[in-house]
Amino acid sequence: MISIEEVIKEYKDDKKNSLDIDKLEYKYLSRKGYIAELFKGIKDIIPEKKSAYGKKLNELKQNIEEYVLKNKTQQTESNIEIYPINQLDMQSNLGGLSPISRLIFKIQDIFDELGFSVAVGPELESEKYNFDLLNIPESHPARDVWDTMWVQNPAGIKSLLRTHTSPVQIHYMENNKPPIRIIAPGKVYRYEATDSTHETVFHQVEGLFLDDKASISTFKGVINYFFKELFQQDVKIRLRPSYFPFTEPSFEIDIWLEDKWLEIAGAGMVNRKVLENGGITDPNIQGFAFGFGVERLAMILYGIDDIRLIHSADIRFASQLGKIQL
Amino acid sequence: MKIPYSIIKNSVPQLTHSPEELVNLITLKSYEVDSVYNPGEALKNVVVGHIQKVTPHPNADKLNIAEVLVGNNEVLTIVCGAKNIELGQKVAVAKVGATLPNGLNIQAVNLRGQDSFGMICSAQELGLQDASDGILVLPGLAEVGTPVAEVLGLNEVIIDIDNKGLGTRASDSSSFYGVAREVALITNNQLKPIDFSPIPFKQKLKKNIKIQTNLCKYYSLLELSGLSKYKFDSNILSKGTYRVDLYVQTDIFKLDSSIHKTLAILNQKTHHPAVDLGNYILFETGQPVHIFDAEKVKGDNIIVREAKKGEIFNALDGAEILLEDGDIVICDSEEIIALAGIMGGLSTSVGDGTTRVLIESANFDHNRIRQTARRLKLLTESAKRFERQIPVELADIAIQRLINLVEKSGLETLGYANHGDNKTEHKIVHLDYDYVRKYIGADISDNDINQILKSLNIEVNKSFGSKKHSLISPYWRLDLNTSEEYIEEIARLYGYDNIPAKLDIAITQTKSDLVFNFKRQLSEELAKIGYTEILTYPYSEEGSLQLLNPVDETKPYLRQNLIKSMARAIDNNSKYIDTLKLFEISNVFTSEQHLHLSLGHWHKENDNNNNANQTYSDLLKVIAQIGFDYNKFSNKLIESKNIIHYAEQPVGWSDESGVIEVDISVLINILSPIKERYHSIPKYPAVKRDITVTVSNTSSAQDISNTIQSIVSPRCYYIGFRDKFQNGDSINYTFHLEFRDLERSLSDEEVNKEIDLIQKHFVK
Repeated sequence: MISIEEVIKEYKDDKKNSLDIDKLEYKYLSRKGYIAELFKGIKDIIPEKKSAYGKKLNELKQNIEEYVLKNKTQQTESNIEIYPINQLDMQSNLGGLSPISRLIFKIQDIFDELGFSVAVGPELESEKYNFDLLNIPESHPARDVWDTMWVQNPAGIKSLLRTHTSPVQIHYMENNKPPIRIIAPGKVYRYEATDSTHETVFHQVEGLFLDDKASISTFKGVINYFFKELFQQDVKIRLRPSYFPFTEPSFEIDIWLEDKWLEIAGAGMVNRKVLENGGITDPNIQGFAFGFGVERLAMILYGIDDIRLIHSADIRFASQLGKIQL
Repeated sequence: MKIPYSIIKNSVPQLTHSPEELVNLITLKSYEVDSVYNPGEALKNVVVGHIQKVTPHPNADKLNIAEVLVGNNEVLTIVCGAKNIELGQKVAVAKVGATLPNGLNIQAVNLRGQDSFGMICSAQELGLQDASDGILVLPGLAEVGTPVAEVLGLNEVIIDIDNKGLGTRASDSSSFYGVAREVALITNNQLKPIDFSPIPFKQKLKKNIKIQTNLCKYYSLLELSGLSKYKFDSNILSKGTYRVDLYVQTDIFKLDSSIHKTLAILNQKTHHPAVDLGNYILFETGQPVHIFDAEKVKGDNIIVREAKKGEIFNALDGAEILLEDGDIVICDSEEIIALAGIMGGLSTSVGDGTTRVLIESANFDHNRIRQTARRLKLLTESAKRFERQIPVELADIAIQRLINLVEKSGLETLGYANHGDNKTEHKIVHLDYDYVRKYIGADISDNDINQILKSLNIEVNKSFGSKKHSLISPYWRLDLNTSEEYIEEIARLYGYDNIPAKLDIAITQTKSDLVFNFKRQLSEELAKIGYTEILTYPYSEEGSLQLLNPVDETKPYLRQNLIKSMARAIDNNSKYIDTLKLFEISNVFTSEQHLHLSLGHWHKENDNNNNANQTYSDLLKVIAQIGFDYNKFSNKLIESKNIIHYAEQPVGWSDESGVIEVDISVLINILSPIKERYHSIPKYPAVKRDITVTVSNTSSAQDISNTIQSIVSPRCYYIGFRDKFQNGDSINYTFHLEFRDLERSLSDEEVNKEIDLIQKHFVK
């Protein structure tokens, strides 16, 4: 395969030799041109170098496009005014949702078909709702898993930013009687060092399903349906044992994508203690809960290589991805 | 928990699964596997070499030139700077092309005029120790050309099991034996018991154990003698030697070499052999043991008690530790000799010249150990196991195993004492098998359930006439206390893959959160008219709610508005593009949480008032589109730094750059729906005019619009803002006006009259 360096060299030569502009355009920018070929080659680049390569390639493409446009304009008779259409302009005029919102709304639509309503809860939480009522007492080693951001108000009262969307389960149980079918999308916060896959603020979608017969089997049915609709194809899914204090049993959900299993969500049958903490004592009521990271899903779906882009407010990122159709 | 595959295979001899197959099965049935790796792979292209000639480098005082045989007639010339290099040594040679664990790439180089083809490595360079002085000298028996990884016993598949998330199952999975038991279970193989030797109950220890706190359930001590036969020189550890020398070249402590190899594979530092033995017991059985130098322990009593606030403990590593009320400590007649379950003391530590040791095997309260260890940030291997709760039965098992391991080395047991209760009381759980089937949603037969429970060593009883089975778990499963916990065992061993996926749920009407739905409509409508959604960080330089552990020290507050982030986003992005339309919907935090919308419609050529107006008209459009009465927005036009009202209540504002922020939490409660009513289609055409007026700098578009409204007749049904142009001290505003009479066609003259009136008004 031809390398980007070779293409750059050839392009320089072609410019120097004033290659006919239409021929040049065809050679580099057509569907079978060099640029398209180089883009196809991205998949073979090692992951660490992908973004640098992509950047370089985009620069080259833009460069050639501008050159072609400029020369074509000159060719045209001057009484016809041609405005170069900036790609970015076009995109920004279209508008779009952040990939996070788009995905959350898509998730809402899928679950809506299954009878799940959307519930919300506060981002500013108490220790009681974020931990204690979810069967994570102070002494529990599992508390280490959630690196908490603590907050203090002017009166000195301590609270926290929820570390997961699971507290919504309790809030909802307190105010609604089973049967319950909800999803709860929203922001969560973690005190941790950021890198390309870790952020201090990100989004989760929580799910809760309670009635008199919801079982592990029902959960499998629901989650299979969900991923099939989300990916618009049959997706292989597996459950494997895990541990969360608020579910018993607990599972991790993996999906089979690009020849490997990807951990995509945590789930389980709601722990009786949590049901009781939410005011549900009827032993006939049972069901499951699940939660997944929206950013992680978005990164998989859209090929985003750095989670920090989500909060970058950079139009070059935001204007690209809002319009991706699932 | 890292466990070598060979160790599992030892305990489960019939195991036929390859490491990969086993990892897959463990993942599906038992625990999460963090990683699988071969520590020997890091030492590729590093082989045993034999030094055949050493000559000083002609151009450098500190360098030597060595001729090293590394294979059949393959002799490499290598320049080496180590002081301890000697003729005849067996050494680790990194050949050209090798990459060492520290990332160093070995290439042929010229060092002061001398070509060098490879490197003779130190233990540190091989990633075996944190520091070393000189090159690693291998045992004389090591065969030339053999990969060093093999000589060091590092060619092993290691399975790293994630115990973090395991909760109460963690202790069961934190030992070789526990994992092997699980493997035997999920592969349907027999588990080979470990070799034990009996505890010498008749040899009474000459010390009394006194437990003075209920935070220690059980305490036992075993005294061993005979270490004086072996000379242990701790200096040997720092002289660039590696553990391998301890058991091949010297003769200090004849532990089974596999113990040393196992510790090496697990990357454990080399200690006194007695301490190494204790560490091995911990990995193998899951029971932490502590080794005291028996001669340094004073008096006749060993006391287990709770510390008092302010007491000081001198730890093994030289640290002075300030204790709190309730920390569990072990004391001799004079002082605190160990922080129970976490770390031993300096005064009784083993070292050169230790002849007798006291080995402690005990059980401490997991919550208390956790509290103390976290407070002191001493998460030792011991503390990590105790804090997750260990069955008390393991204390005796560890001692029985330890005695078995030292018997071969010729050490003698001198005495033994124990105190406390060494049995776990397991709760009987009454399990209804119908509930099992209902909970899992699979038709698992009674027989299958019984089989699974039996394979787990769970005692199952069913009394006549009762619907439920009574279950008692084996001692190592402290986590089985409820029906659902037993159901987990049944479900995972039955196989999650075997549970059918059923979507037999009743169709129900959804009723989603109002604010969420409003947010969604708002977002989608804004996107339709060209707005791009952004997300920005919630941290701010100022605010009401303070973060106690801010991720960014310069922004220790939660933001109270979005407008600043939006203004910054516009500023940052304005270099890429001429027109920006951005919005964000996020919570902000005053004393409570509010959902806000920020909007920015910015154009390079516009001034801030124009930007504000554009943005504002977009907001109104969207509100109307969603079906709410936008006429209740009191302002017809706004400029920068205005307050926005809806139904006379403040709901938002614009900042100096023209960005708008709206408090959705407030707005949503006062929004009223559009009252839609049909008006008959006008029979007569409208007459449209644009008019430009020149006014002083102080007049706003809103003022002008109001003025025009007061001048024209009711036939003017629309006044729209079109343009604004600064002209020195005055401003030109352009408005678009539409006129219509419902009864007849308007003539041009009639409209011109109205326009004249306006122009006359502004000309004066």
